[in-house]
Amino acid sequence: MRTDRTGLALIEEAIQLLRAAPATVYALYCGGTVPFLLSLFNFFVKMSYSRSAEAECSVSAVLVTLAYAWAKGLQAFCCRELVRAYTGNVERWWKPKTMLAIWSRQIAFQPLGLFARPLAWLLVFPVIYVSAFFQNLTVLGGARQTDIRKSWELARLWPGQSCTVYGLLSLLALVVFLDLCAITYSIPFLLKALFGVESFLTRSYTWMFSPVLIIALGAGAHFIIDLLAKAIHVIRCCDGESQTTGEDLLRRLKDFQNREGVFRAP
Amino acid sequence: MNLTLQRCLIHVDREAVARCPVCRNYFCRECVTEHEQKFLCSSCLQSMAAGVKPARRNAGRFMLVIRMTIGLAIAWLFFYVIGQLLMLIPPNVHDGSYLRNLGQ
Repeated sequence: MRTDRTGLALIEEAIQLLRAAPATVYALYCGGTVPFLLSLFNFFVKMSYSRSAEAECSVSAVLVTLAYAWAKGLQAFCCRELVRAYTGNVERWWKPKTMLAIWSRQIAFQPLGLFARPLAWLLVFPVIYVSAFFQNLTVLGGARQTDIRKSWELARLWPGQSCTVYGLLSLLALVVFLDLCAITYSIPFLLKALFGVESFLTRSYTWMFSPVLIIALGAGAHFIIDLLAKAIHVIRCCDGESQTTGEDLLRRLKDFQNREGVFRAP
Repeated sequence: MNLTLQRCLIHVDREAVARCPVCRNYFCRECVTEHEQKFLCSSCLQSMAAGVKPARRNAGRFMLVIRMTIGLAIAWLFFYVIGQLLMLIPPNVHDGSYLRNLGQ
């Protein structure tokens, strides 16, 4: 367990963890997030441009809700895989009973975050605790009875580090958002300059300020940064849990024992 | 906190040798028991051993189904409100024609 780690060092370690993570992590994250993002974008477009938006709103919201529930389940499984990659723990989350327990707890508790997070942002101060609580709940899965309480306890650990991490992640999210805007806005003009493809997008600039496009780009930026945020919380949760379980020491001892010749008799 | 300076919660004349990871109190060798590679005090071990009784488990499942339904309803409400807010935005903002009007 390392409590002396700075926010920047934690982000670097999380990036290293993502680099070393197996393809399953990315497959699970994309498998959950991409369908949700597509359904969300479809919902935004329908609600903004469709003439029957009023009538379709409730049904379309149901579809987005189902996509959200799907995404939350797969994100929790993705975090279990990240925990496996970080700790080398061979706990089997893919048993149908465990998967169902994780999924049901995610569906039951994560939607509260949809309202709690914006409220926390408005009040500014509790945002690090509220966001960390819901991220920790994704990491721990929620299959055990104690996971909710533990998520809150872990969210309150090392507040200074949390503040630095959230500050840096917000800055990074802004940069990613601006990057996505630059890419999206330049594509029609690049097509025109390189291949002579003329479209309504190159004749007017007004589409760039469409609220739907801006919200969709914001959601895209959020979900790109979210995987990094999850990796950070995986590390924080594992380190926080090690305070009482001593698992990090057992892991290090096992590594030490596995090293060739350390305990070889003379 | 230094463990050697602590005293057992039950036997105050004895030095503490372990801290229970559940209740966070200090105990002497006699008052802790090893359970799944952790030293727990007797009261925490008892409450763990009592576990979840079948009747409570069924009630827990029922509660979980209710919580899931409430969770889905909350998520639906959130997206429904977002949809309603998007519908409140005037069409000239969506298609950007308000920018042309501003320019004139």
